[in-house]
Amino acid sequence: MTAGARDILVVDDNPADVRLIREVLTQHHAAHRLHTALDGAAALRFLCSERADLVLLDLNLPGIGGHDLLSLIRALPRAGTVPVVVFSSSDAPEDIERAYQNRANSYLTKPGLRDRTHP
Amino acid sequence: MALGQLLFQNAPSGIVLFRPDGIIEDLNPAFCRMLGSNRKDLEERNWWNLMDSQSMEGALSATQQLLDHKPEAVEFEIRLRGRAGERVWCHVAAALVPGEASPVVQAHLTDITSTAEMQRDLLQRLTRLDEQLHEEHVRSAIALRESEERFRGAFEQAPIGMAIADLEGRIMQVNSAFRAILGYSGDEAVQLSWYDLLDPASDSPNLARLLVRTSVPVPSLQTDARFRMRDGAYREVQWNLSPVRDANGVTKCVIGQITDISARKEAERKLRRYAADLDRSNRDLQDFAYVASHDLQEPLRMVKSYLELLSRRYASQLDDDAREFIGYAADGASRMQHLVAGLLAYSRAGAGSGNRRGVDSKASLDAALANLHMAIRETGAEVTHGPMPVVEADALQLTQLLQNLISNAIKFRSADPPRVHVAAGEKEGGWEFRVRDNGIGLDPRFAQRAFQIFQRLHSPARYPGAGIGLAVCKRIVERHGGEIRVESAPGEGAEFIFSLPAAGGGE
Repeated sequence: MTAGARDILVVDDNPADVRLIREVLTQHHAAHRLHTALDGAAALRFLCSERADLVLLDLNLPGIGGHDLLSLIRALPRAGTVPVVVFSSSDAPEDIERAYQNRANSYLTKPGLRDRTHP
Repeated sequence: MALGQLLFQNAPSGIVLFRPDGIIEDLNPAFCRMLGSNRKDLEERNWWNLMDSQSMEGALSATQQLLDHKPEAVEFEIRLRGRAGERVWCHVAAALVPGEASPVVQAHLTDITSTAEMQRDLLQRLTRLDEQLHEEHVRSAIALRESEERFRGAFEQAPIGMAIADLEGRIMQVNSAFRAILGYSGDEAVQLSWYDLLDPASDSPNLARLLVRTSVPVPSLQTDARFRMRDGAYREVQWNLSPVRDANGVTKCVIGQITDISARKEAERKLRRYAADLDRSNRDLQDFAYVASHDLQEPLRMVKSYLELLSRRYASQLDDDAREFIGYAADGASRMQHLVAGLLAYSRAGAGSGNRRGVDSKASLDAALANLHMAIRETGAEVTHGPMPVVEADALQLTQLLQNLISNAIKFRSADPPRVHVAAGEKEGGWEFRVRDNGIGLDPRFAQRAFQIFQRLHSPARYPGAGIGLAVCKRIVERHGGEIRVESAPGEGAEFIFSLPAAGGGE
């Protein structure tokens, strides 16, 4: 594979989840660069000034909520097309539906990741 | 001469003695000099007539004060008229002459014209300066208004629709393009808010609400939105929102821009419809080709089988002509079988190209050479290759592609044993493969035809085949998002060049 290391923005205010994501992602590709935003404002600031190849987005965020943040990301003039994977502990159908309405690229539930990494 | 008289006559300041009714009792030479007149002229004049009217007022009131309250002295300034009409500005210190039965005022005058003129000049200058400042103010006010007007002009005449809205989303001002796009008059527009205009079924109203939150640190947002026009229909626009913030970062108002993209959207929809139609028709065609070739095989097999049975069992009862006819018929059926088999192969080619992953092209080449080992051995062909990359492809189809091209190179060999070289190099983010041979080559004029299905550039007697191989190659390459072409000249060998995406470069 010639695919290079990617810039991944993790938007999550839970340090334990951020740590877990870092472990899992770097296990598959050590060179990925992980950037962390603890809230929506920080995520928007990052996306307005830096480059991200992927956004991993928690829905349960302080301040601007995850769904609103996704709407805002999709309306950013330059970064609006960045792939966004919603990564939430919620498996409520209305959350999933709303995320896809806001053009999320994928929706993962957090226990799912834990199950895969710690069978 | 008394000392008093001496002082009076020689005083450097002008002295004049006058009665309250203005009759001059006495005056000294200095006073005469001040006004440039002689004593005789001045004695006949009335004191009050010597000064201008503005001075008289102050002089009268000061004199009155002197008479009423008898202070030691009073001071005031007057402007006297000189003989030539010039003004003489004087400081006056006045007192009553003591011991007179009826009051006599003695006034000591100091010429302050130069000082006064300096003052007046200063005053004038100050006034002028003040006027200039005032003009400056007026000018800058005009400039401000002009720049405001220029801004307003730029806003009003901007080729994209613009609206300024407050933080509640209420429209405060719109420009002509905005009015033209949506059909509202300016007065109608300012009755509306974003939320009246936006399609409530979309996410756009939410976006406007989110933007005005001061905590959202974005310079602008952009989305495709549907705006309700005056006639109630919706128009598709690109909507840009920019908050206007003051120095403290507090959002004051929001500027919205709208660009009519209904034509673009319509074109996109048409294109999508067209692509879907094309896709469907392609699928139909493929299904048809597959079904037809599949179903055609069956009756064809029947025809061929019974022709063989006929010739075998009844050969002795048939004359030479009949046997010849049957031979032609069987040959035709055979060729038809090849064509149908080719059509089937062609319709299958690329059908499964969705099964793409990173494939080592060296492995595919090895598989192709293994399939061709008989032909290679029989013809003494030598197939060499350079470094082979990992590409994004369907492994089986890549094998078939290389196999067809190498088999082609061996088939169209010259008198010399075939020499085939496969090379690959990076090009434009993908890979370019070159399969070069030393065969008979082909006329570049027929290069395009070589890739068409059932097209043959040579007689089937010399080079058997259904004309399928290169068509299949083209189809495989194109299904992988690449291109194929041939570079050749008769007798010069041929080089087939095709491109494939690099691994990891796909969606």
